[in-house]
Parts: sequence; structure tokens; C-alpha cells
Amino acid sequence: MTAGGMPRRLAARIAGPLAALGLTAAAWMALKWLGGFQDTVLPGPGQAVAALADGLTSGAYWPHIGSTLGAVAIGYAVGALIALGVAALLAVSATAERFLMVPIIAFQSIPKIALGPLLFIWVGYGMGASVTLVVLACFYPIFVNAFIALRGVDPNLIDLYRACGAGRLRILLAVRFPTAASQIMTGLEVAVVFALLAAVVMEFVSATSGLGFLIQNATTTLDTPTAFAAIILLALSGVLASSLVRGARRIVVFWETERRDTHMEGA
Amino acid sequence: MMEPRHALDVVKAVVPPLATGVVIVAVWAWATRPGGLDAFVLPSPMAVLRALYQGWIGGTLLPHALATGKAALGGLVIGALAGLASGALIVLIRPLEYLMMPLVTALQSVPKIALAPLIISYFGFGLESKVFTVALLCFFPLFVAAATGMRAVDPRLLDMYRAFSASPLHILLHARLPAAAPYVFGALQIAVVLALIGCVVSEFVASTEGLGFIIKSGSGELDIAGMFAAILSLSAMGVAAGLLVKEAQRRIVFWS
Repeated sequence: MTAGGMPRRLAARIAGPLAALGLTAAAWMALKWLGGFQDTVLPGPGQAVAALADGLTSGAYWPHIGSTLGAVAIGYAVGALIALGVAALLAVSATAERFLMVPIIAFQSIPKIALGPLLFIWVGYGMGASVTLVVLACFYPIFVNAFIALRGVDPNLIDLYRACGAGRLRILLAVRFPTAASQIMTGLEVAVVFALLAAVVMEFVSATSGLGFLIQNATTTLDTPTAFAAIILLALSGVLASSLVRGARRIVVFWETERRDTHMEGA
Repeated sequence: MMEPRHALDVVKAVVPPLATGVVIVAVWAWATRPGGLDAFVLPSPMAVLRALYQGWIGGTLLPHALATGKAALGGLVIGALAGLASGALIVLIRPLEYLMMPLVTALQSVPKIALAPLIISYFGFGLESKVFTVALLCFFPLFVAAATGMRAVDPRLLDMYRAFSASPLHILLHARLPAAAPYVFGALQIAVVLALIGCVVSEFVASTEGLGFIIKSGSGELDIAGMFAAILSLSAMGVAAGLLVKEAQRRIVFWS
């Protein structure tokens, strides 16, 4: 890693997405032009961006952004805490694993998204139902990665700690979690996508606000530029949330960044 | 630990989860006993079993399960083939990769399901919307798997094929595709679940048939037992499809 290498690498990292963005806009315009679509069917990228700018400056979109991202953030945090707690319990206690592993896997076979209308009946309109669905959707990817990683710790290391008189909790915090951190972060990365998906679906089902609601509402009123603006916002939220978690990974698992970078360059 | 050499090991493996299941059902039955929770909140286990029986033996759920299954399968096949073909294309034509890869990585963190209402406004309430939504969802995992898998081929093998002047197509079919097969099946496992999810969400947004329609309309009519039956059927379809993919993988990619 030379001093001159950094800006060039940064430029390469920015150039790719920019080219992709330009390409998307070009393909979008070409599609509109070739298909001869009307604006109510397929607005141009300019119209969508104009609707976006309008919605943001007039403040009309902010409550929707807030309720979607709020539900995602709260549900994701709660889901991650529950998943990590359950994974730690099952990793440490063979008894807990015996009693709970099969039921958890059975629960995993239910597509969580399908529970949306049921949660609507149980929790009602509003953010509560979205948060609940996000919690359910986040749980498994975080749990399964954490469980496998917490279990896969070098037994010799655990024996060493045990020989020195460390208790289960001490081993969990000092050995298992640091060793598992990388894979736990992988689970957290996967779960971000599920969280956003769950929030949007819940908003399709029942919400009165949120970006999913905005999309559906705009589509039924043929306000297609708004629908596209909301989709752009969702896309941005998805990219932003993912890169936040990836940034967190770089901080939490700081000893791995070097290797990951070289790996990405090799790919 | 997991080798059931003795009868005791089998008992140890089977009894605890069974006990958990029994406790869950018992608490559920107790909570929904006559005079307990309202059936509009939580139906009793018996009511759910009755709804399942009614749905599958009585035949009320069957056409909806078929509608969902048909759309999911159709979309899966189209999306998977398109993903495989695009993945192969960017492996064969290098410059395409630099254009496509950033776009695809960005799209991976975008919830594509958000397009469902728009897709329905383009294609209407019927099969086409569902198939399109499902195809869109299934495209990405297969595209990524095909692209990574076909590049994971042993370079010495490629050199050998080239040394014997094999055409690019021949190399693709005989060297790259087999190398990609394990990746592709891994992605198919994900795509099967995505297919059902995409289908159900499309049915949530607007539809006249399908398991998603039953679940959604059940919440309007407070037919909670019917919703449970539909959700359980959906889960069973997902599990069955996943097992099918696994079995196909075992037979087709027999070497790994």
C-alpha cells in the first residue's frame, strides 16, 4: 500500500458506481424512447429526480423516509440483539441447543414476509407491525452465522482458558465473540437487506406512511414519477445501510481489513 | 456427538425438540381453550388443523397453492436462465464485467420487491406480474453465482482446453459450467425461497388468487385459521422445493 496507491484506488472505487449510475440512466432513457412510453407509465430519469428533489425540499417525503428507516433501524437492532443472545445461549449450552435448535430451524422454514397480514391483525397499523416483521426477518441470518461461528472456536483455546480457571461467560466474551466477530458481521450484512425488504412489504400490506406506502399509493394514483422517486430513495437507503454495516465491520473486525482489501483486489 | 450409535443417543436427539414442540402446542391449546383467547386473535391448534384439512382435502386451498406454485416456478425458470446467461456473458466478454459488476453489487442491497406495485400496474393482476416479479428477484443470485462459479474453474484446465484448440463455447459448456454447478445450486436454493416470497408479496399488493391472496384476504375477513393454513402450506412448499433442489444437486453435481 504505497502513498500514491490510495487516491487511485479511491478513484477506481468511485468511478465504477458512477459509470453504473450513468449507464442505468442511459438505459432508462433508451427504454423510454424506444418503447415510446408515456410519462404516467414510465417517467424519464429527469422527471423522477425532479419529483425526488421536489419531495425532499417541500418536506413531503421526510416523514415517509423517517418511518421506514426508523422501523428498519429499531427492528434491526432488536432482531440482532435477540439473535446474538439466542446464538450465544445455544453455543454455550448443549442442553439449550438440544431443546431449541430444531424448533428454530422449523420456524425458519416459514417465509417471514408471509406473516405480514397476520402481524397487521395482532399489532395493528403503524410502525409496531413493521418493527415486528423486521425483527422476525433479521433473526435467522444473524442467528445462524453467529451460532456457527461461536461454536467453531478452536477447542484448544477454550481448554486453555478453562485450565486457567475462566468461567463460561469469560470464555464467551474473551474467546468466542472475538473469534466469531467476522462471521457475525457477515450475518449482520445479509440481514440489512432482509430488514429493508420486510419494512417495505409491511408497508405494502397495511401502512399509512413509509416509502413502501408511498410507492403503492403513487402507483394507484398514476403519480409514477413519485413512485420512481420513492424507489430511488429506497435504493439509496439500501446502499447506504449496507455500506454502514460494512464500515462497522472495518471498525469492529479491524484486524481483518488488510486481508479483505487484498482479497477484493484479487477478485 | 451426532452419531446415534446407541439407542440412547437417538433418544437424546429426538426427545428434547419433541418436548419443546409439545410444550409450544400445549401452551397454544391452553391459551386458545374455550373462554381463552378469541379465535380472531389466535385460533386453536385444532381449528388450524381443520382449516388445513378443509383446504387440502376439501380442495379450497389447492387452486391457490397451484396458482402460487405456477407463478413461482415460471418466474424462477425465466429469472434463473436469464441470470445464468448474463453471468456466462460477462465471463466471456471481459469489458461487460466492468460495466455490470458495480451495478449488480449496488442492486444487491436494494429491495427489488419494492417494484411489485409498478410491475402490477404494467402487467395487471394476473400471472404475468407475478412471474415478472419472481424472475427479477431470482435473476441476481444466479447471475452472481454463474459469474463467480465460471471464473472459479482451474486455470490449468482452461489452458489445456485452449492448447487443444477448443472453441470458447466448448470451454464454456465442458469446463466452466461444471465448475460453476455447485455455486449455481447454492444460488438456486436461495432463489427458490425468493421465488415464493416474490410471488406472495405480489399477491399481497393486488391479486385475485394464490396463497398470498388467501393470507391477505384472511386478514380482512378475520379468518385467522385460514391464514395459518395458507402460511403453513407456503412453508411446506418452500421446504419441498428446497429438498428438490438439494436432491437435484446430489444427482447432477455428484462429484462434490
